[in-house]
Amino acid sequence: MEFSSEKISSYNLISLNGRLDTITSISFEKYLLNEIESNQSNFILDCKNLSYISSAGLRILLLLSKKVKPLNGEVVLVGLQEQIEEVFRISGFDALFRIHISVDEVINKSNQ
Amino acid sequence: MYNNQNDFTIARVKLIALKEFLPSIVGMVQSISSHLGYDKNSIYKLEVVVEEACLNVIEHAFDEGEIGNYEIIFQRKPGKFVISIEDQGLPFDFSKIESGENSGLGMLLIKAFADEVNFVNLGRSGKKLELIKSLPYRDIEDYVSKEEAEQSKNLPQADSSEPLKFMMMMSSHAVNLARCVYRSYGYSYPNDTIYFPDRRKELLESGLIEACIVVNSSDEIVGHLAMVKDAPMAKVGESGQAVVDPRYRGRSLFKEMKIFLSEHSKSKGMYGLYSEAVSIHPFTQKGNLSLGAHETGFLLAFAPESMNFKQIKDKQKQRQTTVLFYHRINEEPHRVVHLPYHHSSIIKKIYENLELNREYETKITNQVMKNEKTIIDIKVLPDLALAFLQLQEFGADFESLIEFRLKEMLRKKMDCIYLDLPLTNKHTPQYCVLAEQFGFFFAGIIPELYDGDVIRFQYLNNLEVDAKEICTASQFGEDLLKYVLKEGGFN
Repeated sequence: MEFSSEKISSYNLISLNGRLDTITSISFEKYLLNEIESNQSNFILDCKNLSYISSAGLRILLLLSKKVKPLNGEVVLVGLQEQIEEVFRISGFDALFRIHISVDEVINKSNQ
Repeated sequence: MYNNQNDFTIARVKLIALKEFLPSIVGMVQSISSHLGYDKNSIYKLEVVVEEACLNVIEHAFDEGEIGNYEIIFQRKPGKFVISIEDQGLPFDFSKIESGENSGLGMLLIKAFADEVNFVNLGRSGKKLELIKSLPYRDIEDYVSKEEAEQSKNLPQADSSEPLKFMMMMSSHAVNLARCVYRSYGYSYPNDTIYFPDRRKELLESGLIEACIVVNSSDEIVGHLAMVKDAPMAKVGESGQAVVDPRYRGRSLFKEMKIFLSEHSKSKGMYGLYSEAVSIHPFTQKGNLSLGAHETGFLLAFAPESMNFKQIKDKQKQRQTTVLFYHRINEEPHRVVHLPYHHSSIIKKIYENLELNREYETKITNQVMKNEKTIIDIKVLPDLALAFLQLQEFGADFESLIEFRLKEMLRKKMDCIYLDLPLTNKHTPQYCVLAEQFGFFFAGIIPELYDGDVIRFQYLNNLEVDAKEICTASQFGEDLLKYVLKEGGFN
């Protein structure tokens, strides 16, 4: 999986491209933990190009969510593809995260 | 192994149990399932279930520091794609599984995305997890237009003197059958294989289904009754999937088909036929009784009230009780059955009704189990929220394993969990009591289910059972129902 990041408003916007599985989640986890150590606590994960997620990927997101909470941060997901959304629904993870259609929607909401 | 065009092993791959090779096998899943005609969404689900299942083996099947191997086998079977993951690692040690929010996430996805999941013990050869997905088939809407379906709703009652032909179904009848069902029931018929003619053809050709059909003078199928078997040469089968075209109701077609199918099964040397009858009315039960079948149990809240299979994901709140019947058609082997003392009276009555060749043993053995490990095979039907635990071997850890498996099934939101214990095993009476302490209660017996009779226990996961809604059709049926309700605390 490839990912890129940029700062947008108060968020660290990370765009995911490809598959978040048992193998790719290892490096992604390292990256996220680094970001948190660099005092990042608000994340938008742009998932419109995320084509696959397994339980390993879900665990990384859960870990991220737990790490940012004491820092009053949050993790927002945008652009989930249909099959990814189904995984979130089945696992109950849809109740753990704010999920939006687009990055703009998140930014607009936070500016209100 | 290649048995025929619908039954063959596609690949058997032995892998080293290291995570870094998971993408290779997931890639293989993608390629094979695409070739089998699955759509993008189904392929995704198959990839996930295989990744999760293989990861489970890699992480739990071997001692820390040990790197073992496992095998993944891809099989095309009649009507389904079967992916098996086998390993000869540690027997599953449930006491080591951590509880908490992370545990079971992989298994949750497996059970959500597979149509059927089986945990099979292979004894000294290890263990196997079977992941099963129905093959993609054209459904009946490809064969019957909506206009045709609409027109047939208004057809008049058939002439009662019209001659009808009874015969055993052939695979060439599959489309005709699907038309009959679609015309009669739309999509509300509770068995979805009937709506996929190609799948039905495969099952017929494999010998796993045989069926009696009734054909009218225009060569339309107007009646159907199937017998489903675990294997082509099985000695018992389950009769069901009854369909009667509304134009031909009132002609006792159901009864005539039952007789036809029984005689066919008898001529093949089969021992008997099970069936499940609804309890919302007594008519099916009366039909079974008139043919010589008898009640052997009640599965409370077993069946969803109605199922439009296209909306099968919608959970039904109210489930209906199903009555188990057995029809003895040929002499079966003599068997000694070990009856739990507190259920011996009702079980003997069931046997006496059936006139089975049985010798009773009610002495309880308190022998200490030499085996440390209990072996239980598990079958899960996620869409129906049913789980079946089939005991293979009793062991000293029976209680803790039953408790663990029960909790696991409840966490997975199974509505009904069944536990089958072999009545030919002298330890069964002793272990029945242990199972019942966890909330399992008597459901009935099933003769010759696994090369011998089983006593079935049921556990209902906070389901409502309205005893007033359950119909019976005989005095014994009434007595058996009362017994089961009392055992379940529903009276």
